[in-house]
Amino acid sequence: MKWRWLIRTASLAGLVLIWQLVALIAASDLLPTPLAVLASVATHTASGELPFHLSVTLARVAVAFFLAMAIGTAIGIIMGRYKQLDLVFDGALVLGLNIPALVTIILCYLWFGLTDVAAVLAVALNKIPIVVVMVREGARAVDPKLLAVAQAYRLPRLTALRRVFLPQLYPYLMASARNGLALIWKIVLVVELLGRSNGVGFQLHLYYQFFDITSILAYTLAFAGIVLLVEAFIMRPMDNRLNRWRS
Amino acid sequence: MSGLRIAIREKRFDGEAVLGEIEITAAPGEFIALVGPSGAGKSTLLSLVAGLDAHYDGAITWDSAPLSRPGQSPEHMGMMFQEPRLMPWLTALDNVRLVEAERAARESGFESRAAALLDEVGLEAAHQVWPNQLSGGMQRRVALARAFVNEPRLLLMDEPFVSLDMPTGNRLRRSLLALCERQRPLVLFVTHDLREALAMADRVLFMGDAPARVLLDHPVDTPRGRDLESVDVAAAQQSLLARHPQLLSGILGADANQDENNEEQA
Repeated sequence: MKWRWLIRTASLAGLVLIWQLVALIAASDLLPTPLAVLASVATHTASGELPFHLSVTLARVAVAFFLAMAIGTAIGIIMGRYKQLDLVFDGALVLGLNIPALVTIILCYLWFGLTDVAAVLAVALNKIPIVVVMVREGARAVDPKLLAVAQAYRLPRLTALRRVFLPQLYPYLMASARNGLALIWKIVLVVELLGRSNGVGFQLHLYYQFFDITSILAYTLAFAGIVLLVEAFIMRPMDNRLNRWRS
Repeated sequence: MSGLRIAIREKRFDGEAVLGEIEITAAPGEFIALVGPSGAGKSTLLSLVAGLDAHYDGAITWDSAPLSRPGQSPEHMGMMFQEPRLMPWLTALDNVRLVEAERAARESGFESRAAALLDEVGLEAAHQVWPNQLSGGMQRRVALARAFVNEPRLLLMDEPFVSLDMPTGNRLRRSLLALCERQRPLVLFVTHDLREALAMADRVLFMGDAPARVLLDHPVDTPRGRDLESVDVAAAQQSLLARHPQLLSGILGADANQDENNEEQA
C-alpha cells in the first residue's frame, strides 16, 4: 500500500521535473517553470479569485455529473433489459453519441438563454448517451441465474435491485463515473467560455486574451490537483470497497 | 387438499411442446426425486413450480392455492440450483441473510437464523468469507443453509450435488437429510443419478418421452439416508432396471403398465 503511494507520487514528481527541465532549456515566456506557476496559484488563491471560480466550476461539474449519471443509468438499465425499448431508442442514442458537444451547447444557450440551467443541461446532455451505452452493456451482461435466485426466494424488489442487480453493474458504473468526470469537466470549461461570466473556463478565456500563460497554467494546475484528489480519496477507495470480494 | 398438486397440460418453448400432461400430488414432508435423462424436462418442471416461468398451460397449487406465479408461493420456499449461485459480492453469512429480507421486513423483532444455519452445515469458521474463497463443496453448504433458513415448507432442488466428488457429495446429502429430518419440508429433488434418488427419496418419479411426462411413480420402501455405494441401493437399482431396462433413457418397457399395477398392488 505504501509502495503504491510512493510510485504514484514519484511518477507525478517526474512529470513536474521534466516540465521544469524543458522550461529551463527553452527559457521562454511561452513556457513558465512549475515554480512560477505555483507562485501564480498562490497569488490567485490569496486574492480569492481562484477559489471562487474553481468552486463555481466544481459546482457545475458536480450537478451535471450526478444528473448525467442518474438519468443515463436509468435509461441504460431500461434499454439493456427491454429489447423492444432498446430498438425504439437506439437510433436516438446513436445520434446523441455523435452530435458534437459544441452544437448541444450552442443550442441550449439559444433555446434556454445564457443561464446556469442551460449550461448544466448542455453538459449533462453530452454525457448521458455515453453513460447509457456503458450501463446498457452492463445490464445486458447481468447474470440471469442470479436474478432467478432473487425470484425464487421472492426477494422484495428493492432488495433484489440493491443486493443482486446493481452489484453486477458496479464495474460499468465505476467506468462511467471515471471517464464521465474527465469528460464533464472538459465540457464545462467550454460551456463557461461560451456563455458564462464566471468559472475556470471564463477565466481561461480572459487570460488567453491577456496572453497570460502563467495564469492559464495556474488554473489548470489547480483543477488537475482537485481531479487527483477526487481520484485518490473518492474513486479509488470506492473501487477498492466494491471490489473487495474479488481478492 | 393439503400439500403440492401439479397439474400441467402443456408447456411449450418456441412452439415446441417440452412438457406434456403431468399430474403429481405430494404431501407435506414427502421427499420426491425426479429422475430422467437430460432434456426430459425435469428442470423445466422445477422452474414452473418455483414460479420462475409462468408461461404454461395448467395449474400448480399448494394447499389448493395457486403457487406458480411470483408472490403466490407457500410462504417459505427454498431452492438449490445446479450451481451454488451465491452472490459473489456478499459474504457467506450475508448470502444466507439475503433471503431472510422479506421476513425481516415483515416480522417485528425478527431474529436471523442465518448464523445458526451456517453452523449447522459445518461452516462455523466461514461466516465472513467471500464465496470465491470457498471450495465448491463449501459453496454448496452455504446454498444449503440459504435454502433452509426460512424453514421452507417446499424445497426445490435441481441437481444440487452434481459434479462433486463422492465423499463431499455424501457429506452434503447427509446434511440435507439431517435438515429435512428436523424441518420436514416437502422436497422435489431433481437428479439424473438413479442411485442418488433411491438413496434419498420416499418416491421416485421417472420422467421421459417427448413431450415429457411421468413414466413411472416408484415408491421406495426402505428408509432414507443410505449411502450411494450401499448394497441396498445397488440392489434396488438392479431390480428396477431389470424390469425397465431403458427407464433411464426415458423409455418405459413394453410391459410397463402391468408392472406399474403390480407395484401398486405390492
